[in-house]
Amino acid sequence: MAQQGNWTELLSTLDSSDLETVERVRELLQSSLSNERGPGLLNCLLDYYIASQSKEALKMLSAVREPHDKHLLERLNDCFGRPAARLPSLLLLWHLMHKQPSWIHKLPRAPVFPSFLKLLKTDTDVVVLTTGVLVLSTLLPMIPQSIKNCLYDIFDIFSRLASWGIKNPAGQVPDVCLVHLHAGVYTLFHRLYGMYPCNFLSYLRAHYGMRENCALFQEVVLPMLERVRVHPELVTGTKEYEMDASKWKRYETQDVVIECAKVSLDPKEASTEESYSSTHEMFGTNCLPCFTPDTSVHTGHARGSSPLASHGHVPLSLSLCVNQDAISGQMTTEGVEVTWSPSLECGLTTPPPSCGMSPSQLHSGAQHSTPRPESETISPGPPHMDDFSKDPLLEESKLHKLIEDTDANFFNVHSRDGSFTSSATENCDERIPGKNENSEDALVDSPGTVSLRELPQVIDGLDQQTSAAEQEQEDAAINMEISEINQRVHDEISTRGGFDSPFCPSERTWPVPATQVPSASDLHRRPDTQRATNTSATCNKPSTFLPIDNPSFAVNGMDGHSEESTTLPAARTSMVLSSSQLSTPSSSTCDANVSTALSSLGTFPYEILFASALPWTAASFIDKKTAESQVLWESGLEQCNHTSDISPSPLDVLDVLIQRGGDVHAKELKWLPLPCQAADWTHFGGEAPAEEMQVMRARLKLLHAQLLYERHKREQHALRNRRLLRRVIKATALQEYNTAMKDQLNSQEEELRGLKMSLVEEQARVRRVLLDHEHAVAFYQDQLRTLQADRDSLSASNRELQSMLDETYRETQRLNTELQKTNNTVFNTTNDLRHLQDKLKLGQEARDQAEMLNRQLLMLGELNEFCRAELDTAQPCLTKESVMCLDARFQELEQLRRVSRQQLEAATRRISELDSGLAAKELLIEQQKDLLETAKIQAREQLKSVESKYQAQKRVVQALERHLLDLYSKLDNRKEQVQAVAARVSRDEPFLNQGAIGGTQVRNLPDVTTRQGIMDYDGV
Amino acid sequence: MAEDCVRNFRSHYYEKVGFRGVEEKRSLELLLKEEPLDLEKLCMFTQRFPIPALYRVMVWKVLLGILPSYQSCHGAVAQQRTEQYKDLKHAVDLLHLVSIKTPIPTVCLHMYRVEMGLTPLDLEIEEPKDDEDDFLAIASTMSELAESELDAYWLSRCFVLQFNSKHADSLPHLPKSLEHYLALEELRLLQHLKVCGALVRLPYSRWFRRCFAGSLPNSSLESFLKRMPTLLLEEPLTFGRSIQDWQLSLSRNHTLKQV
Repeated sequence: MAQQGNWTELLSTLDSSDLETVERVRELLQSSLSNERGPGLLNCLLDYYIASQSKEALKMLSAVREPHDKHLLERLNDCFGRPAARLPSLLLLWHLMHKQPSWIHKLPRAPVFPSFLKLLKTDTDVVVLTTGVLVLSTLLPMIPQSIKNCLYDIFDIFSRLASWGIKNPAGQVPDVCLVHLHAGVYTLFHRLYGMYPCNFLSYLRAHYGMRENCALFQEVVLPMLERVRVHPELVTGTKEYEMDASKWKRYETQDVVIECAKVSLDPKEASTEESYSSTHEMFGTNCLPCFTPDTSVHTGHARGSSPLASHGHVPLSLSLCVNQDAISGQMTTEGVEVTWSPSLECGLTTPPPSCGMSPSQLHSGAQHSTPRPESETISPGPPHMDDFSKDPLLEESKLHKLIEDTDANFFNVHSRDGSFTSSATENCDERIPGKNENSEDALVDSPGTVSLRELPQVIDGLDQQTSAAEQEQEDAAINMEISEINQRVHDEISTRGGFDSPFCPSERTWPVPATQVPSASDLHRRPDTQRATNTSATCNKPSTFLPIDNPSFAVNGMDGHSEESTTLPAARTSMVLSSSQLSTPSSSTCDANVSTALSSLGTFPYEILFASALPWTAASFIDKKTAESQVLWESGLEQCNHTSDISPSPLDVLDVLIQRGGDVHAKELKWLPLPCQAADWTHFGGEAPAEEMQVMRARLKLLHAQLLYERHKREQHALRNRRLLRRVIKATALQEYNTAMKDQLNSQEEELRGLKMSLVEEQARVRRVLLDHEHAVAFYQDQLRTLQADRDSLSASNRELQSMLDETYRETQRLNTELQKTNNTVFNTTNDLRHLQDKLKLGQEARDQAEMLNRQLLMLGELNEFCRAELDTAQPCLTKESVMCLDARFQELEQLRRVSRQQLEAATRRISELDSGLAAKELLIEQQKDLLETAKIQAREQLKSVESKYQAQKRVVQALERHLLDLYSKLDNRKEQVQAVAARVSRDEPFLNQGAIGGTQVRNLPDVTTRQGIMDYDGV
Repeated sequence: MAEDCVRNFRSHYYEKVGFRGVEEKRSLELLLKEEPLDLEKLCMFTQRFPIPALYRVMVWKVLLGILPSYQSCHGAVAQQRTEQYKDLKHAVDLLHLVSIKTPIPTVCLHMYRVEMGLTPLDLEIEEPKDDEDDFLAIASTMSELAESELDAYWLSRCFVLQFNSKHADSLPHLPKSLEHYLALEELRLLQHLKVCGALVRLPYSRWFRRCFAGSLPNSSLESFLKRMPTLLLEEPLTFGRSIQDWQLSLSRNHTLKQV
């Protein structure tokens, strides 16, 4: 506790005037905050902040880190319970969110969040509520997926606060503050519609479907709905998908903000980016009409002292005329060059089938709408040209004029803004550069789209454009000029009167025949422009002209609308919705058609769709609508009449309010037209000026809240812009890279071409070489063929010769064998013959002997005969003696016979002996012959082996000789090579050559001999 | 007479026990004692009985004509053969056709080439021809069969020469006759081979050209070669038939294994 006391003391010094002390204390506190774990110091700090609303404490609290967040949120929860502490707590919460701490996602789960919602549901303090609503609007994009549980609480809050718009619950809340609240609710509406369209619409359907809420819907919600386009997710998304965390994961906070801005049609909310570019370019240019009412009001204010000050509407109508010019000019430029598709607009790939729109239809629609503005532009041309011819910028071709017409209008606005800025708040100051940028964009975009390369230059141009001094100069010059123009136009109008005004020609060009009776019922059947003209005409009539707060005019205008709204509220809503489903709100013509359709109930349903499908008409419609509603609301505001059906944007209302406040605080009361001032006073509740201070304080707080909100938005946009710029730079770098690559590609192509050329050359060369080669091959093949034929014939003859040789050889062998056989037989026969001759000789001898012996035997026989005869004869005489002699002789003969027998025996024995000898001899001869035969065979065998050896040796010698010859030829080659080298080296030395020749001669000798030798062998 | 009786008795006994070679060896020895050797008888003998390893080379040489039929001049002829071999070897060495490392079949091939005058002109370019491959296959078988390089060379040389001179003409007819014999004797196998489509793809011609050297394992070839020299001297058809018989039995074994 003591420490707590310490802290309190310390904290009290935090806001001291001594800067050093403050610095020291802050450091001390911060270090202890980072060291301490408990909630003590934090609580002290919070208490101190709530008690003193110290800026330093707020800074420190909003920089709280992670571990303390729980205590802080708990403490804040407590603070929400105390009515006095609510506002500071809310502011603290807001600052915390501004810092976007890492623990922000814990917020919806913390108890402080339900109590915060409860606070918004129950509280009655308008300041707290407005701040709370803005806090909620800021918080929603940061934690899109974690608040799904309390989404319906938020819807309830929305409906509750929206209901404040018509029934002031407390009754004592000043309307001024209600305007702030309404603006806050409007912001919340945008967030809710942008983020959770399905859920939100279903809630709206459920809630405002009830009869008791019907009026509230008409009064408050419907105007808001009119300022948004159809959210694409109404078509593509579902309730569940909206709540899905995966969807929100892709978005950062600023993305969510931009997404919300994209669906908005309110120029103060709408985004000018990306897929809506074609429309947004127009929005950019068309921002000017949105401001024209303001400026016109201001010029009106500024001219409060002039004689025309009471005719506040004259410049208004003039501004409308300028508007139309701007629109028409823009339409001509845009209509020619921009091809627009509804699918682009919706982000759908196919247009909704219920519309029955095809691109051709669309095109015809576009063509249909384009000439009209041209005629409009040209017909009121002369006075305008005259007007603008003074402008040094507008003296070129016609198209340029048209373009610069818008541009000039821009500068008009600009100048008006400039004049406005001089006396206006910071809020408007912030818008000027943006607008300037828009105008610049429009300027650049009108001839075409900006390429990436040009973008940096464009940005540079922008930078130059936004240089303050130049701008001021320009502003001053143009301001003067504009005031002059205004003056002149006004003069013209005032002199020429209502239907002589520049609108009349344009009116005549309309295809719809229009009576010029300015009755209320007619007004609905006519185009808006006409109505505007009519109103302006009515206003311009000197007799019927009334000051701003003239109730009759207001009633006249209002009555029409209220009538319309009361008669067909549902139809109107549906029409608005259907037109917004096409993502382009109805244009001026469309409005006319709508009203026509409303009166004649859908005679031209398709035309409505065509017209509403066109973005520029839609854009112009917005402008017109805004301008018109501005006019109407302006008057309505003057009369404290908030029941207008077509109410202006709450933001516009707020703007005007702030301007008024600024005017008041700038002590320019004397310049203000009295009725306005009076209306102001009555408007602020008609209370005593004593309470004015309190109201003012509340307003100041509200303004602060608004400012904080706008600052937050600006930061989100800055973040996004930074990201986009980074992308642009990246894209530029890529472009550069691309061109570099292209150059490289070109050079490579050059190279490739060169290579191709050389390739062709090489191919030709190769073809030539191949051709030569083929010729050579063909030649050699021919040669080969002839040689082969030669060889074949030679081999054939060789074979023949060989066979002949074989035959002769075989013949010779046969003859040899025959010879041998005959020789054999001859030899044998001679041998036999010799034997036989021997035998024959022996036989002859024996025969001779036998013959001789036979002859002796024969002689002896004869002798014996003779002797016997003699004996016979001599017997008688030689009886004894003869007998004796005979006996003797007989004996002698016997003896002789014995001898001869012995001799014969011996002879035969001898013959047999000789015969056996002959046989033995023959056997011997046979044996000798056999022996000889075997010896011969053996010798032949041996001879054969020797022969084979000899043949083998011959072959061996041949092989060796061949080898030798081979070696010789090699040697020759080598020597010739050497010789050639030597000859090349020393051609002038003759003896070397001689020696070489001698060498070759010597070498040739053995060659010859060996060849001869081979031939010899072959012959053998 | 008594001797005959004893021999018959023993031969019966041997046949019962299974030693059939004993009698044959003796009869072969008787045959080899004759002067001059009766080649016809030897052929008949070798056709009928396996030759014992002791006399195989001798019989081969005689049958192939390396040695004459008169044994008295064997020495002189052998000397001539040796000298011829040495001359060829020397020439081959001299021509650098072979080295120490060259396998015997290749040496034989080179020597054969030199002797026949078939040495290619360009020694560098050597294309293996079919007949050379055949020679190599036969020579490798012979080198395993014979004891010395000398015998191996002479055996393979004379074998190839004799084969080429006598049976070269009948080689193309052998596949057909094989089919014929197969159809006669082993119809099932033939059908099976035809169904398989293996008949056409069997490398008959190579088998026949090489006399199964290199196609059959040496051990089984050896047992076949025991009888074969005789066949070489006979009619080619008989030779082919016997080869086919042999092959038939072999292939039967193979196919039966496969089936």
